[in-house]
Amino acid sequence: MTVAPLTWYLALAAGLFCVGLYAVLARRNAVTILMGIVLMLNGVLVNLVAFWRYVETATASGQAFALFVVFITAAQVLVGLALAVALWRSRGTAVVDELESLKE
Amino acid sequence: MVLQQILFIIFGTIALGAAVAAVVLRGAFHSALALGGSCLGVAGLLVSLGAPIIAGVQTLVFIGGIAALIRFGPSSLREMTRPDQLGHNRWWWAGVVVAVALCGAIVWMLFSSSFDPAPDPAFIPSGSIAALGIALVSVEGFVLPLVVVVLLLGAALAGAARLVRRQ
Repeated sequence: MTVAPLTWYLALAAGLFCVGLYAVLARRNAVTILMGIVLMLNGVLVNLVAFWRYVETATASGQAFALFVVFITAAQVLVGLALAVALWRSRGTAVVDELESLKE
Repeated sequence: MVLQQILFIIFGTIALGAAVAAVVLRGAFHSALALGGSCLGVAGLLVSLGAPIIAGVQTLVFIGGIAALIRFGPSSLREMTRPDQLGHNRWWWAGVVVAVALCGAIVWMLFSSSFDPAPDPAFIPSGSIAALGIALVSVEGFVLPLVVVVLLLGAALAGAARLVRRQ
């Protein structure tokens, strides 16, 4: 049976990761940077499940790791958004370029 | 071209196109919508790979949780994403260079390697769901990491609630 090759999935995952990386490097707003991190972890998710399906279907390790990635992403976005809201309240800005107090 | 290849092209285009839209669009509402679309595309890919449980959890957490929180969350979140707070920084072109170079390097390595395993033809998706369930609750499997992740989520929830509480 001919199916989509593993390299297609890995290339797509690399694309998703790099789009997210661009958002993290180039966007100014903390919320949009968090969106970029979610995109990067979406790429990781595709990678893990594709490797599980093509290389290691006999055990559930790939799926279990993918599940943990989803949970940890949720926790990370939760804390990240809470930090951004706290910074907004104390500094009145969500632009990360303007948060330079650690440099002083 | 077989069904899985057609599904890959459809869902892959949705996932990648919506991801680019989420990053490029200026408005936070449109970015959040595009992020939800990208997550839906990824969920479709996961279903086509035979992992419907992961796709369901991913859809619930990312689309139901994050996208809804960004759009319909507390008023301060909406204020934080008003137009003067958005946009790209002055080093955006360096971000383009790094992202394109990294993606190009990975894709070049992938297509120049001879690593191309074939999937198991005897694979049954429902059997994989049962195997995942057993692995998550067995001592030899992932019960300890699962407990740690649950504690982490609880701690993150409590910490986030403490951080956003008004003084």
